[in-house]
Amino acid sequence: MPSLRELVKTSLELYPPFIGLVCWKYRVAASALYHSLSVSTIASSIAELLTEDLDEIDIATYSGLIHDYYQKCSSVGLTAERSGEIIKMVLEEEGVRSNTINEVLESANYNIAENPRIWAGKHPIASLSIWLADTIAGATSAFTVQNNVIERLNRLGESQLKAFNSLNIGVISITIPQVALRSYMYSLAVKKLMEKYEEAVPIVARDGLVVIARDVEEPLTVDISVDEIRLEEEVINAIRGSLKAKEKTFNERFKPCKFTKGSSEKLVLDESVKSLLLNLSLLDISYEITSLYKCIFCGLPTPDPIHPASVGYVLYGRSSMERWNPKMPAIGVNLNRLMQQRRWLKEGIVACPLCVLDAITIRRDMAQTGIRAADYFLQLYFPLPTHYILAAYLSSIAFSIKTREVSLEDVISAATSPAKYAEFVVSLGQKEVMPLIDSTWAMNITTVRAEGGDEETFASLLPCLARIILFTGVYPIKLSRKPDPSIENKLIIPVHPLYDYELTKLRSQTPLVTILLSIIDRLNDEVAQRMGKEIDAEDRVRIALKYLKYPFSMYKDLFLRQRVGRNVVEAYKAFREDPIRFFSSTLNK
Amino acid sequence: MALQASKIPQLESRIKRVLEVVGVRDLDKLSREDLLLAMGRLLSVKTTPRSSIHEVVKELRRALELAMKMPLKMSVDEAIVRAIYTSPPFDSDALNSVYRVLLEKLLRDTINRINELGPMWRKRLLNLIVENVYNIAVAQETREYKEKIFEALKEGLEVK
Repeated sequence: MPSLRELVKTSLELYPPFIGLVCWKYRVAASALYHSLSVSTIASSIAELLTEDLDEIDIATYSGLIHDYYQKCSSVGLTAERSGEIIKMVLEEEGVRSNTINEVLESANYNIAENPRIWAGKHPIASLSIWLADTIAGATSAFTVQNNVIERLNRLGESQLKAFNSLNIGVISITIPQVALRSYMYSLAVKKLMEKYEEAVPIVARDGLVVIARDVEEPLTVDISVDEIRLEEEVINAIRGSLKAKEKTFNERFKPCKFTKGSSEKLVLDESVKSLLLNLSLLDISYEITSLYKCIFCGLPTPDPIHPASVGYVLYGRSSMERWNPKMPAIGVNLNRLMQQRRWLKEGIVACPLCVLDAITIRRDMAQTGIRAADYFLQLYFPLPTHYILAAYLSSIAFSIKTREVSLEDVISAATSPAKYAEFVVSLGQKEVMPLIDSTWAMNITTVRAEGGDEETFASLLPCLARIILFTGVYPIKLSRKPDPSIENKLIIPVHPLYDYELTKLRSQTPLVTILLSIIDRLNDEVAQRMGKEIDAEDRVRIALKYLKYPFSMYKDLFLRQRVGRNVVEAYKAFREDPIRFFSSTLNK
Repeated sequence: MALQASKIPQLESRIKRVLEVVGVRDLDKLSREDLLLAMGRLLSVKTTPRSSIHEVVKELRRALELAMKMPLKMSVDEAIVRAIYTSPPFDSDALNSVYRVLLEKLLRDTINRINELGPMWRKRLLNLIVENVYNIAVAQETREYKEKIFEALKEGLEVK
């Protein structure tokens, strides 16, 4: 049974960018690599739930990985025969047993993911788990998963139905408006789930976390404690020390005893918050029915008012109004005046405890990335249901691409040799981070510091964003001031008009465009070197902005400017001419 | 009456050999980037260690400008023929005819593409093409092609 790391490596070798980044779904923008990997991980976990036979789990894993290969690879010029040869070659290189490889190739011939009954007598568990994984991974919302599965139950044989009936599918959903806080709550819930139900499978989807467990009689539920989200005492002391405000005002506004870890004082929330939590309950909290105030950030009714400046205390170490002040239209209300002295309670300008907890979570993420102010949020959308552990792994890869420098050679290796590419990506995902994966909007968020205005920040981050897509296969990526759930059918949002194209229309160009975007700030390097000039960071931003304005039809001409780009174009040509040689030339070394 | 430009240079063995060296195997299946690569490799014969952009690609730029500014009544074929036969870049006849074969394809491709673009982007596309050809001609990895082309020309002479 392969570990997640090995599985990711195998899949990257099977799906190098020229195949893996092409969008395979018609309605959703989901790359081939990402979809296959997510089906494979879900299938292997479900098979693990149902059986202890390692061969069966192996077959489920690898069949899930290639379940669409024959069907969809024709879009990049691969016939079924050639695909079979490539799959055989790569799996043999990874040390998979020849018996398993034969079964896997057979599953691709029969398209087991759609017709599981063909294998009802031979491999009931493996075929059931591949089918279930593909059905789950095709759903657009957590609440449609059960419907989709039940509608297609007639495709199963008798032995498979028996195994299926022992499984329970549940949904855990948090719909409070604080994005960072609820992502953290999801991660706590996943931790608790793994303890409570043995080998439960948590799946990130839109609108909630789908959980699959075996032999559970009651509906699946979790309790999480708010105490784990609160701040440590040292951190609160540090905040208090950095402030200019007096001790008394700080205690009055922030109420630190409510947000210290291990404190006996309970947070008070409105009764209506309960309705925002499905199959999940918060411990260490008392609820009240009547609330006098409304939070100015999120609009929830709150019986326990906190001064809005405490959000500023937690995030920036000072009560800087400009940063956290919600942008109000000119209605003649001066928020600053309303909050002076002790008028804030009278006027009802208050924050709720949940918003302060949200700020605390963002502060943790800022400490992790090593930045001082969270000006932007980088959102990595998972368009289709994904195994939680896989989502965390991909997020950690994205995190390390963001924090370290990736050399140009590594970017070219993505185009020229699948084996090197896979090795490099796997070496990135080793660092353990706290991922903020929000399952309500199905995305991973991290904080980003601004570098100049909107346009400059975007241009300076653009190569990094393109590299994240290149190395994880997950798109779209969005850069925005506040996290939001609207997905457009695009590669990177916000984008300049040039790359403003529909992903589902221009399929085969996606990999080349991604590689171009990831080297866009270096297009002038060769010319500058010849002239004996040096390029600094500001120039790079200007260059990136300049090339973004070129019409889309000129992207190959832009490639030819640089030696790196020419190598990529030649690699693509070699791939289209003889794909088998493209794979074998790097694997056998 | 439209002249068939592709048939004008008759391909002798020497020219075919040079075309092969430059990376062109099938003249009908040439993509845009193949053309630019081939053109750059061919023009690398003209380069010296410190050659300027004007020295290397002035003929190409002139031909492209001519084709882009063609009068309205002139047909595409006619414009291409005119552009091809102005100011050849080399002294050798064989190299010049290889250049014409490639240039004809390049012009046809470019004229098709500029129809979609506005006047500013037409100019920028032209600059990009010329600059790319120069970049390819001067690049380090193209140096071997220079020697290979000379060898191919010598072989052809011996056969004669």
